[in-house]
Amino acid sequence: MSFDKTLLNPKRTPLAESSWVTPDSGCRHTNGAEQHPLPNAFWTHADEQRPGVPSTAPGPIATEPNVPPVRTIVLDRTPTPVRPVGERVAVRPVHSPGGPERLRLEEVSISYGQKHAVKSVSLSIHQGEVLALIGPSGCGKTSLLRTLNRLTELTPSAARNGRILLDGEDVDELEDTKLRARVAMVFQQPNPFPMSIFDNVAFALREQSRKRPGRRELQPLVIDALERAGLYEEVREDLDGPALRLSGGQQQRLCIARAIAPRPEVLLMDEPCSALDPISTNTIEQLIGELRRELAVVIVTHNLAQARRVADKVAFMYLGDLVEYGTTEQVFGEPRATRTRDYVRGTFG
Amino acid sequence: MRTWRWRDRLVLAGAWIAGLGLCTIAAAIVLYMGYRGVQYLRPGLIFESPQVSQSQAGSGGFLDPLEGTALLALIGITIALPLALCAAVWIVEYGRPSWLARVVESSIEVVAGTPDIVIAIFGLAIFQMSLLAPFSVRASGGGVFGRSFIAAGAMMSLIALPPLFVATRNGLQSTPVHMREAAFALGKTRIATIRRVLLPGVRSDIATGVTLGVSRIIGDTAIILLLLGGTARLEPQGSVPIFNLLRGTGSTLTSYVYGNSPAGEGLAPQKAYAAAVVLLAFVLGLNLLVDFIGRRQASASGLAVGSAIV
Repeated sequence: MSFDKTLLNPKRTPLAESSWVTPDSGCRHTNGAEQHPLPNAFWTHADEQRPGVPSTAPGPIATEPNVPPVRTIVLDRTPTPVRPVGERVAVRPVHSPGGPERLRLEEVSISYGQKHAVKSVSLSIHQGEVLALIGPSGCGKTSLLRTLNRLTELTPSAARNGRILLDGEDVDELEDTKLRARVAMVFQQPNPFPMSIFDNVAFALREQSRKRPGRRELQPLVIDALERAGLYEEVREDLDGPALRLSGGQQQRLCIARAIAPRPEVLLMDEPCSALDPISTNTIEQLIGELRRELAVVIVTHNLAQARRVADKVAFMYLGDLVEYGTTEQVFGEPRATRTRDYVRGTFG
Repeated sequence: MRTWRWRDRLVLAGAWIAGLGLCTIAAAIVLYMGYRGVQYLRPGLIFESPQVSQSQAGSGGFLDPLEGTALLALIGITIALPLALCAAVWIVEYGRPSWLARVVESSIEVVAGTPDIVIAIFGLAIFQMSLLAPFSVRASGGGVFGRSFIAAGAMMSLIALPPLFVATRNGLQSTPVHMREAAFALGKTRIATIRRVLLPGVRSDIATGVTLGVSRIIGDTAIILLLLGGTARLEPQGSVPIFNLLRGTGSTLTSYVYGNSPAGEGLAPQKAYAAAVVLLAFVLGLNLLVDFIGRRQASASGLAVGSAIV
């Protein structure tokens, strides 16, 4: 289980993490049977059964014949239990270790014809941290994200100014294919290719040269990518099965596996969970927490609670301007700008 | 409301009659041809070459026309497939400048709308040029005769191209944009995206197009009559093994039916019926195949069967 590695990471201090729990991202389980007897951080395995707590909670009411069963909305009542919401902080370091800077944006502006989508944004993105771009619809956060791997260039009317540096190199001077292998992206809608699971991941790894690596050489890399995306255990029997037969959450994790297979330095995520159910969302949020150790993650999200759960840094954008940038605690706890405060408190947006 | 309902019923009745009428016509064609053809059809006909004979009994079978049909379909599709794929990919994936894209699309529509006899006579004009003499039969005097499998096949590719193009273009157009974005975001070039993601994804559309194209080729008569030389047997020209066949003349099922029917020489109408029923069976079979491919695709929509691209 890949979660182990996270917890064995010496940089992390698991017990301190429970102090990070904020009232709304913390324990959501209100029925007594679900209450946790031990501190959250002791739970290392997502699929481990907690002693004395059945994964399905058949209350005494459910066994009585004439009374309709009371449906308790408990997230971990699925056949494959995932870590409950309150425990997801266990994989989260207290604060970003402050890895090396990966991406630097200098005065980046994006316009579509006359419309200015992003106005002079400067940001710095470090390895080992998750940057969440938040803001109301149309504020330019997706445009900003898509310009980081120059995907905006596919839109004929889009124009970009300013500099984006990937490890000190101007991305405009990199070949777009090379850049995109280093700055990978996961989209809002799971978009696996209509081919087998193996080929989906292998496709990302194959060079566009005449000499293409064979299946034998690719197999370990593909399996490794699937493992890092937390999907391998579920698909190991069926690597040659069609990817489109997977569930939505599995498809999205396959897309993540595909994106991280070539070992990119930055992973861009455009609302990766907005098309998914809560359980899949949880799994992917866990995954983001783990992936952060090896790469910088930039995630666009509409979901403020999600930004709060997964992000180390938060950038709030409004009408193309970068209004506020800071640590998650600061942006949500004591926002400097009024706009930000109104947004994170739900006054508008 | 009553009048509306009455009209509604009338239209409904009209639709019913039209539908049933078409079914009846189709059934009549198939049943009549089956009745006339099957009584003369015997397995030997398929394995015998045509013979020159005054009597119907001695005129042999239609092995050569069958081979000619297959050969022409092969040549036509071999030429049309890359052209149609390239045109469709260009239109959908590049399509700039847009006026040129419009011109290309209308050109293909013009080709699709051109009567085959016009295509045939145009082909004759082209292949009679002395530049293209090596590709066709020479008359005994040395003049370019302009008739051969190559000449007919080249023109047949124009017959097969529009359905192939349309099927591929529609398939590509219905491929969601996010499929392309996903490939680009993985650092793939446009060509790699087209080759490894888009074209494999529209394989069933291409298969539909090929099948439609083949069924149009094997059903065509005008091009055969003008460009295939009108010899009942395959007549190779020259000594180069395969090329001599392509340079040579021959016949197909359609020209065989024409030749043996009362409209042609009229020597063997029974053979004509037998060949016609075989031709009909082929075309119907191909149409069923198109139907099957479409159905399989529909049932697998969103769940397209995965392909190994290794």
